[in-house]
Amino acid sequence: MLSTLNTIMDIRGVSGANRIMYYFMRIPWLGTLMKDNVYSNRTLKKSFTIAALILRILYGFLTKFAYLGLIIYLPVSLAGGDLPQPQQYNLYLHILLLLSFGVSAVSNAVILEPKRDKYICVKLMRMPADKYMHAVMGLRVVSFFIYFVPAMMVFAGIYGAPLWHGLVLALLLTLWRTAAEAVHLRIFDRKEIVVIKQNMLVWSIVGVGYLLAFLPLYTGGVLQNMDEVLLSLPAVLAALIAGVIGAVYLVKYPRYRSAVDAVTKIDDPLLDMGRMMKEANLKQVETKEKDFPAEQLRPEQFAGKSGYAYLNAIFFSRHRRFLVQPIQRRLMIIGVLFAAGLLLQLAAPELSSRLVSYLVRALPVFVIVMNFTSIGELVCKAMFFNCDLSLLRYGFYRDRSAILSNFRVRLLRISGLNLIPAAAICVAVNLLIFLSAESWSAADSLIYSATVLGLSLFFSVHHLFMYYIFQPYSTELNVKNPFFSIVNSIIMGVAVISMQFKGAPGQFAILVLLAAAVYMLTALLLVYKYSYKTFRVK
Amino acid sequence: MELILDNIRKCYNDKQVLKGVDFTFEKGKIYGLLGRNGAGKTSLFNCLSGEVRMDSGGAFLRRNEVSLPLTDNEIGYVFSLPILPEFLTGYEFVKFYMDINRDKIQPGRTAEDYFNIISFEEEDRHRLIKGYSHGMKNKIQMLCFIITRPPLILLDEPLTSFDVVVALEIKKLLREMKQDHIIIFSTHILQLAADLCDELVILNNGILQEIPADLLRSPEFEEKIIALLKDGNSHA
Repeated sequence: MLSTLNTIMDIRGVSGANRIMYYFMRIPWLGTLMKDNVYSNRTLKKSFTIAALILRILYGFLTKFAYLGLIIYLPVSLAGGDLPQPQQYNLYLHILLLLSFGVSAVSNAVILEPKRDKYICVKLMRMPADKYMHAVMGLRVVSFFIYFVPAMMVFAGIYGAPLWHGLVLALLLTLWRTAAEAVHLRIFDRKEIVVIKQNMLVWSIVGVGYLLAFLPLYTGGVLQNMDEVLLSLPAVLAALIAGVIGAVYLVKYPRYRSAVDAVTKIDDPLLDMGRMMKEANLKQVETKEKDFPAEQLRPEQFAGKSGYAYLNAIFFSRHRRFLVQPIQRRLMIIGVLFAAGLLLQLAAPELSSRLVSYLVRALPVFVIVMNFTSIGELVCKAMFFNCDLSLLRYGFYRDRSAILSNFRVRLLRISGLNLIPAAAICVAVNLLIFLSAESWSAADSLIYSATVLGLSLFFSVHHLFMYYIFQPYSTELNVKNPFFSIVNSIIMGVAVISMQFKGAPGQFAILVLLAAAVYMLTALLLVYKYSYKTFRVK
Repeated sequence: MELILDNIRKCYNDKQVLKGVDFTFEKGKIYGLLGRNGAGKTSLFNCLSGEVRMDSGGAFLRRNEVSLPLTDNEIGYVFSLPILPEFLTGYEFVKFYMDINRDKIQPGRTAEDYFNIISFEEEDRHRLIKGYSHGMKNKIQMLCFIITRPPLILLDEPLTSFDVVVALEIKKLLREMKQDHIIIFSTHILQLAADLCDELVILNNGILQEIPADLLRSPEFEEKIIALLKDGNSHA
């Protein structure tokens, strides 16, 4: 078993080291320091393997601390921080019991987990399945215990309980979960059911379990003396017996090969997170053939147009899903909020007048609101994947004048679409304020509307500008260009800061409009000058 | 008209793929570009088409003793994996392509005329490209250079996806077109190269070398080529 374990650790270590090198090379600038031949540099790789191992061990300990700290300790001290310590400890143990002994025993079993590691070792490298599983499960049980001990002891200490509580809890949990693994395997053996893949069941148990676990934080009704019950002799004996029986079952189990085969099918998306993400991402913006009946594909459809106008007319008409639906949804939300505002004015005039007076001063908040109201990012994604990705392979499409005329058509379309909800917001807000007791002059109304419309225009330009200059998407649609995220965060940061603005709405409007105008001019200038260089498939 | 490649170099990270490619291609001939997997055939094509930047060197078109750098729109490039905007129908793509290249098309020709040239089924023209087979997509790509007739036509493994009938049609088409164009055709199918091409060039070890014309017709053609490809191979 030890030699098998050694081989598995070697494979994991080397692939971990390769991964570190691969991602290091992708860091801008710094990555060029490392050349392709590092993959064959034995000593360097050894050090990386050790580094990867250390990182993994640290990660193992850290996740346990994070789990106990963030999922259990934090909610307990937030909801019941003023309770006496023993009572908090009871709550802590109650949640631990339901989550770790209950929910995780069902949802987090590893014995039938689809894993790339399993696929590589057993399927590709032809390691005997039983040897592989014995080694992996042995390692799992031991490391599970070791990783939990310090965290359990620290949190026991925090609640003023004796430290051996932590040690025994870690041991109990390990035994209990070993028994649970055996039960999973047994169910598979008898019924050919892989429990962790029964999504309905697993998520129901997760839901109910979490509900029951955290309910006492609000109701206060939790069993007293949880520690005495959990750490009583019968409980410990029961866990011990269950754990030992489970361990024996796992060791003696004769049909590991089928247990491995069942979860390492090559087409299992769980085996390949990368592919799963990719498919999910693409699906979001994909053109579907069945979306279009034959009459929509007849040539007369777009007869009046030509060139890029023709291309974009077809593009926007075939991707209505990403354009019209989001706009409709936004209009609906605005409509509902507006109706709610009107009702409130009739039903609770006092509350409503307070809200309206807030609305009058709320102009800075619209920087954020308009960011979420404008469509752009999803449209850019769809444009990239369905249109530009292929056409950019053609020389004529990369031509400067082509890029610019295409940009112009798209900017007009997106701005036009974004102005619809912006106008709706203007109408709704102005009407709400106008119908209230607040004084609202034509000038006020104009300032408000101009700002909202200006912001809408600003974000339309922003998304398209970012797309044309940073072209952030790779063929798999995950954002690739770090500058894209940086500039985006700066814009968001400025938006958040501007929310703190305390001056008159008129000043704010002038500031926003000026800033937006400067940004838009710069953006358009940059697109004009550089997009033919930056707008490429990378 | 000649295409002159002058000392083209390209490396990816540490790997030098093109180590100074020098060659002169002439109008009126179909050139077969042979090379083993990973020899750099596609890299060379990508450099020529402006898809990737070459590290150094250049490509020039010489007409009547005047050499000018090769530009994007002087090249028709048929990719081995056809890449087309899938949300358009074949007809819409061709119409769009014709709109964009209005100044280059033969006057009076319509999209229908062009589809007829490549014998593209009437009902398929108005289906989304997304549903096209590999061969159909390749045909549409071929149409692009039939429409614009650029001086240089690059074909990356094009005929492998066609059935025998279509392959024969395309071969005929290429032979008809070659008078006014420089056609370079990458493949690793020796038979196809010997059958269709007037000249053979081998990309090996990052450089281009010409195969003597008499070898093309000789009985030991295959052995000789294989010996050349193996000779001094970097990854042997």
